Amino acid sequence: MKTKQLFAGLVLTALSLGTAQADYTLNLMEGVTSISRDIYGLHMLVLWVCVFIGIGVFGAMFYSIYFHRKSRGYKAANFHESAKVEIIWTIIPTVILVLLAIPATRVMIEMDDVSESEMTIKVTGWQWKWEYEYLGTGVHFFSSLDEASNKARQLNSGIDPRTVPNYLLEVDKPLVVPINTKIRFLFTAADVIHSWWVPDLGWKKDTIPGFINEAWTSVDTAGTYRGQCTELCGKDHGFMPIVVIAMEKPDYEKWVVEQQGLAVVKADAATKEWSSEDLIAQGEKVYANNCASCHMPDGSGLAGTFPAITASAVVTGDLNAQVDLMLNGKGMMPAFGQMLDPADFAAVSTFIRNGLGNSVGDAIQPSEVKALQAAIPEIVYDDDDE
Amino acid sequence: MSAVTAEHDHDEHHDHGPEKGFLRWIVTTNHKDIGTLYLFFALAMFFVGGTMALIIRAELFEPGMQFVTPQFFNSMTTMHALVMVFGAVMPAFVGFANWLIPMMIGAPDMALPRMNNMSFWMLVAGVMMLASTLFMEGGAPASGWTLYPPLVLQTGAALPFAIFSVHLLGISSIMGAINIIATIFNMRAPKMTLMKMPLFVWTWLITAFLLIAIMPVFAGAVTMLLTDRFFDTSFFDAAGGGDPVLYQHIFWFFGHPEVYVMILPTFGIASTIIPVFARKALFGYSSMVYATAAIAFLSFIVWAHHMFTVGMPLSGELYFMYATMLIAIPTGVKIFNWTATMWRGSMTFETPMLFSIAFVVLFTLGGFTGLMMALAPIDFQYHDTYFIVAHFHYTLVPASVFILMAGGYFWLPKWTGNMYDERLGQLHFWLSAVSVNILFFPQHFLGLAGMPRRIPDYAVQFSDWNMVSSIGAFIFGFSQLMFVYIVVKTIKGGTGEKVTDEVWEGAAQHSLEWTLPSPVPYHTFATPPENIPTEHY
Amino acid sequence: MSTDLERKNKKTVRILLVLVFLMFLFAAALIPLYDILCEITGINGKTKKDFSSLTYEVDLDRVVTLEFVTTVSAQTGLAFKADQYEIKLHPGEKVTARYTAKNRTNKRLIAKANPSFTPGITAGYVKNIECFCFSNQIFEPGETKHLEVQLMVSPDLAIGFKRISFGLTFFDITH
Repeated sequence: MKTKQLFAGLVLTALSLGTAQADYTLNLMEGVTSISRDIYGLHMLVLWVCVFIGIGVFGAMFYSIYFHRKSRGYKAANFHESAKVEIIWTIIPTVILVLLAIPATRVMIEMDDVSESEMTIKVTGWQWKWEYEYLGTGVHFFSSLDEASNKARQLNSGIDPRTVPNYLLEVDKPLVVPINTKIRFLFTAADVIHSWWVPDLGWKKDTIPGFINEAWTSVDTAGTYRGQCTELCGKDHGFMPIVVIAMEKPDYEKWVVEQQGLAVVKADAATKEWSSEDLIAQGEKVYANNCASCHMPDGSGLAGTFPAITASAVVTGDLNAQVDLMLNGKGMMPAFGQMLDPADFAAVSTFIRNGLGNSVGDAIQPSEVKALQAAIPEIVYDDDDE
Repeated sequence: MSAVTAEHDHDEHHDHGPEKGFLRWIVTTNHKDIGTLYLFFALAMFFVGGTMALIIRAELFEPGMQFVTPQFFNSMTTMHALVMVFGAVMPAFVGFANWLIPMMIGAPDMALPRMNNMSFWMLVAGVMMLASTLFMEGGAPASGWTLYPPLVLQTGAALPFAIFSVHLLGISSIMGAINIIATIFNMRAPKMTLMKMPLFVWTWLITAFLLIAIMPVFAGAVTMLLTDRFFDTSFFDAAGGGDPVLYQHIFWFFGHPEVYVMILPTFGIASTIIPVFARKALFGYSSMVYATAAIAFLSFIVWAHHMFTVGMPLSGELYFMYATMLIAIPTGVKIFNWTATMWRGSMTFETPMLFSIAFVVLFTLGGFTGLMMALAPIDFQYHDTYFIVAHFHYTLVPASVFILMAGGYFWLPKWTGNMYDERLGQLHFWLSAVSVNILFFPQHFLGLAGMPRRIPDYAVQFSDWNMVSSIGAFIFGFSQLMFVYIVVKTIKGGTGEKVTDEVWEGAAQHSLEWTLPSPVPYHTFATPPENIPTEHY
Repeated sequence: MSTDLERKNKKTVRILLVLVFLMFLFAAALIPLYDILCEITGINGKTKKDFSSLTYEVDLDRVVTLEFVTTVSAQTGLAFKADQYEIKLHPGEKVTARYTAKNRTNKRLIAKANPSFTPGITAGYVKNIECFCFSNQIFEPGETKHLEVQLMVSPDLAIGFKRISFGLTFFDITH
């Protein structure tokens, strides 16, 4: 009886908590694209078909269980086959399946049609963040789990996730798209397979290293839509969310110009001389977002898999060797030369040499990193509307 | 009854009984002993895999990370699946096959008794090797039971051991399958024609062919993983001209029939139990056989429905959608046939029947979600979410596992000669049936609301149903300890009531094993039986 | 057990072992089979044939846009970009796409690029005549390379396809 009470208590607690959550759904979301609504329609159709069949089958079964029981004195009948009945219950499901296949095929064909798209966004999956490239605009950035969620999700962090806004569904830099625009997405990955899913768009697509996949969307309502990686991609698979902000077209265009301006600011940051203090302060933030998930927030690493930063021979050794390893990767360590801009890169390399229990005392300037990084400028496509 | 008397006479001058002491269990070639070994091993692994599931559910009880690291969590999801599939469910069905197939077809033993012993011990070695990876540097495999590259190639020291264990398990399964086929083809009593065999024998015959077809393919795929990692090949590595998606194709060519390896014998046991308690012949015996064969055939041509989102061309998506939808037809036939078997029967509801009815109902629910996922466009939403977790657990836990329980209650009195405690059995049933739904039903909601599978932590809007699901998991997990208690108590003498040879009213009309004395002697059917029950056809 | 039965059992085992062996061979054969299937259907967006002597009549009425997408895998110390965003061409016409790749490490790198087309089905119609992705590329420390790909789109490409993405991903295979 004790378990029963405990159980009742827990269920009540669970239900009372439920009222506190706003985004609470039981069913598939309808979403904000024509495809997602078509899928929702199909989902409801097949759900009702199942409910209908279920009522028939379970109805017969429970009728039989209630009336055809020995305790009621019911005598067993003697039939054990009937070609007629068996043909009927083969044909009816077949007809139902054909009727379901027709709309499903229509939606499938529509999903596959990426033609007449107005812009292309390339999505690259990384362990454990997303890279977005607006092809032809020069807008290009990485998007990873936001700091607040990242702190709260550490083992026994002591932070109640309920106090973190959009816990695990918030990123440092969201993907921004215009509404009512047919957008083509290209998907690939830099390391292992990931899968990019925003339920409100209606689909997910795998990102596969070495190969490109495509899909399209056209969002019709401005808003913020959240999703996650849906293909197991290693230890932080659960911690690489996706946030899409859909805006009116003019707002989006303003955003693009702003981003292009940001690139100039970043380029300036890479040319100016930074003080060690500024580098270390900035580096601490960069470390938390990019390095802490493997090397641990305190730099202690993970025995057998991820080396410690604290007292590491590489980090406390030759600066150039350390920078080279960070730029170009080794083993599980990705090439951060692709991911970080020169200022952030210089900041974090300086931080790990002078923080987390290390005190080498030297620093590297963003301008030096820039030279090493040897980035090839992005091509900005100028649209001549032929 | 004359067959039984003849059996007794024969036993007098038959070679000998079991070896004495512990050695009996190591060297035994007796199908009943080996069946027992398989069943106890499976039961033990059921608890090992279950413990892993409870670690997963404990971590998911609340948002935030409380107990384990994400890497260990991934190891748990991977190992839970591997242990349950290869250590618990498959061996349990092999256990039933060993015990029952010879008795059901009137054979004295399995065709290849020494190979039978070897395949059991190889299974133990394989599972032990798999379990040992938990203690290796870098931890146990954490890439999901599907072992997808490139991720699986990031596994630490455990990778070769995990792959070798898959080889051992594969060889063990193949040997078991060969043995079962040889037994069914060559050892049947002269009057036991194929279309008189109980459905359990039929489903196992088909399952054994599935195993022979798929296990070498799986072994091949994991061997290629091994060479990709250690010998510089690049079967699945784009850097060398390979393709990681090819692994997925090969894996699911194995993986989809593998799922049916776990469900076809389930169908067989259900088709054996339901008629006995309905006191009526199985409805549509031959259509059941054909439906089983049809499902087995279809399982080979639908594999890529596990991969709708990898970026197949439209024609591929449509083909795999249509082929998958077809499975609903033979599966539907089975469910309708079970219902028709119950219809106008004279039913009683002992524990095996309760579990079987719950199986029909809950497996149908799993079938419905299966149909939903067959529709490729909607699968772009369902894929890799908790919706699919709910789907396949419905087809495995309240289906396969429930039927294994049902089979246990059904044949235990025959095997031991003692009756189990019916009150406890029914309590076990109701606890399991209620808690399994508390455990898995909310996972449908979670998946539809957008929770991906294989994540150690989740957004707060998923909290409530995860908590409910975890509560269900713990009730379900601990309820299963009752089963151990009931089994042990039955072996030790049960309720004290000695069972008749037939055990269940009218059972001898359905299948041969009920014509033998209870408990069944160590050696049975040294001479083939004369009278074959024909009621089912 | 009678010898007759033993003989029957042995025969069954032999047949089944042959079946096991055949299935194992089948698994191994899936690798070349998959490549053949991919070449015919373009499932994974790869083409591998030699098209150097292939010529088509140029279809001046149609324009197809080829879009160039570059990726560098996570552990590769290269910078790699296409020199043009896209090329508009007529089916049957031969075009050259240019790329720049830089070794940013102070080591010698051997890298290989993997080609991929999307929509995958178009892979069978885009003829990769000459590509640096056909062979390993050796980069001296700090070296910058200008690389080329010659492409042609077959006039047999279905009318509906107007934009094709050609992806190249560089992988470090130095070891």
